[in-house]
Parts: sequence; C-alpha cells; structure tokens
Amino acid sequence: MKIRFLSTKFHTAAENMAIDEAVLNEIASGNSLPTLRLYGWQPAAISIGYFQSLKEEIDLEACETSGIDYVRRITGGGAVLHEHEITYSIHIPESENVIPNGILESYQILCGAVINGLTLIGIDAKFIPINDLVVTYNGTPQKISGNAQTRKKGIILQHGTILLKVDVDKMFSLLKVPDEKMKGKLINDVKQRVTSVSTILARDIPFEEAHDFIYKGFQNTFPSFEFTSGELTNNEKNSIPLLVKDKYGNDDWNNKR
Amino acid sequence: MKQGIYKVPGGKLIKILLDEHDGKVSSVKITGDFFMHPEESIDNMEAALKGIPIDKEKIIARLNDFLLDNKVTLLGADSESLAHTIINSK
Repeated sequence: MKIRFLSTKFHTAAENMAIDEAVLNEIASGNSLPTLRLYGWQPAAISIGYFQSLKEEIDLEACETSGIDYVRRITGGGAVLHEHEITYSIHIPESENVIPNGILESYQILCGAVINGLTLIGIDAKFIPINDLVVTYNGTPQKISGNAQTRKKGIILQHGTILLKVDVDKMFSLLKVPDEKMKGKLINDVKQRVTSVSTILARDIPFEEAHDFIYKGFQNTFPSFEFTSGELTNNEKNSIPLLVKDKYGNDDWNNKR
Repeated sequence: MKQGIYKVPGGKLIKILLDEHDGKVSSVKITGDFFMHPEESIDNMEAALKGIPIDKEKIIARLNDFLLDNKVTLLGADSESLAHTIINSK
C-alpha cells in the first residue's frame, strides 16, 4: 500500500485537528493517499476527548494565564497536555484491508509501530488495552503514550502522543479534578503512573530525534507500506482555515458537551 | 441536578449529570474519557434514556437495546457501568 508521509511540524491546536480532518476527508474522496503524519503543538495545548466536558476538565482561566491553548478532538479518550511531546496520526481506508476491523485489535497493531519506534532508542514499551503504552520504570508500569481512534467515511484515523518530557504539576495546574481535597494525593498518584522518554533515558530528547524514531517505527512495523514524503494537497490546505473557523477554533465545537 | 462519577474497573471514567422527575430520567448528560463508535451516537443514547425509571436493570436493558439496534460499540464503559453511575448520582 502506498502511503504519504506528512511532516507538518508545529501548528496551533485548532490547526492540528483541522489538518487531521482535512486529510481524512481528502483520503475519503479518493484524492489523497493513506497518510502518516507527525506533528507538534505550538503553543502547547490541551486536547480533550470527544465525550469530555470542556469546562469540567480544563481550568480555562489557568490556561489563559499560562498561554496554553485547548481543543476538543473528534476522538474519545481523555485530556492530554501536548507540550514536550510528538503526535502522530495515521489515516488508512478500511477498504485497504491492512488493519483489523476490530477496534481493540487495530489499536494494538497501530500502537505496535510506536512500540517499535521506542525500541530503537532503547525503551521497552508494552501495549495495555484499550489505548495506552506503558514502560516499567521503578518497578511500576508507567504510561508513556496515549492513543485514540475514530472511523469516519470508511477511514481509520488513529492519533496519539508520545511524551518526551512530562510535568505532572503543570498538567494539574491546568486541569480540574473531581475532588479538590484529593488533588495532592491524585497528583502524587499520577506521578507514579506517568513517565516520559527523557525520564527513562535521563537525557532531553529533541522533537527531531523523536520524529525520526517514530517514523522508523512505522516503517519497520508495516514493511508492505511504501512510504513517500509528501505535502498537503491544495484541497487540504484550502479546507483548513474553514475547519479552524467553523469547528476547531469555535466555541460551539469546543464547548459541545 | 444530580451528579455521578464512576471509574470503571479496568476501564475509563464516567460522569453523569442527571435531571430526574418522579423517579424517572428527565434528561441525562454522559461525559467521560471512554470511547464510543460512532461517536455521534452519544446524543441519541442520552435521548434514549429520557423517561426511563431510575432502575438499574431497566436502564441496562434500555442501553443494551440502544447499542444493539444502532450497532454502537462502547469501549472503557458498558451498559452496566453507565447504569451504575446513573442510579448512584446524588
């Protein structure tokens, strides 16, 4: 299967989600190839799952003060702080019959590419259903990657984040918690259950290095895929501003639930 | 308005905002970090619970019918955990 490799570098939260949707639409129309995309978020932003309540999950004032952006995804799952991380999205038509129909199995296969990429820099990650990758660190399984999938117009879209560095205190300064009294305990709890590439390797990992090993991970995992570096098509580029204005940059969408 | 929150064992977090009247659901808002396919079904699922008595077995049955009839897949949550969260809302 021919697959386009898109490296879109850094964009805003709304633009990043708009690009994912623009690409999905063009593939569904038959005008673009299946696509693997790697990207970053500038400014740093929180993305929430489709089923989450924006106001309940995010402290909007704290985000504003800290210059952190936010967006609702079209995929389910939880709130993610995209700061020191790299995000991938992979778009594959179901009709290509290269990814299992079962959603749980397909998570495992696609996350396998991220696992492979992490192996290349010496990190041994494991897939924990439904959608997590964990590394055993200090004797406990700690989450290093979260993933989310949707299937629309016959296209499988899975995107996920790989944590390059993590600041749990910062995360919680931007999120709301169910029980304020338990916040301190919750933060300590999460600190034991979340890790990052730089924590495990005891060195800072730049975006470019992660870009490299994640791409290689996908290439290794899917040897029958012919990857070619490409660009956004004119149709894709042209649809992005409207998707930002009417959807991802719009309160109607972000405040949907 | 009543609120419910439940971490599904081995699953995700469910949050409920419940408006009830006369022991029946007037309206319910279901949020959380679970997955549902197709995603847009959530609105119809909430609508399907309108008028149902706040009774665990009845809610489970209504949700199961909805999931089956509409070919909806839930991951990280299920009818039982949703019903549990609803009836335990306060």
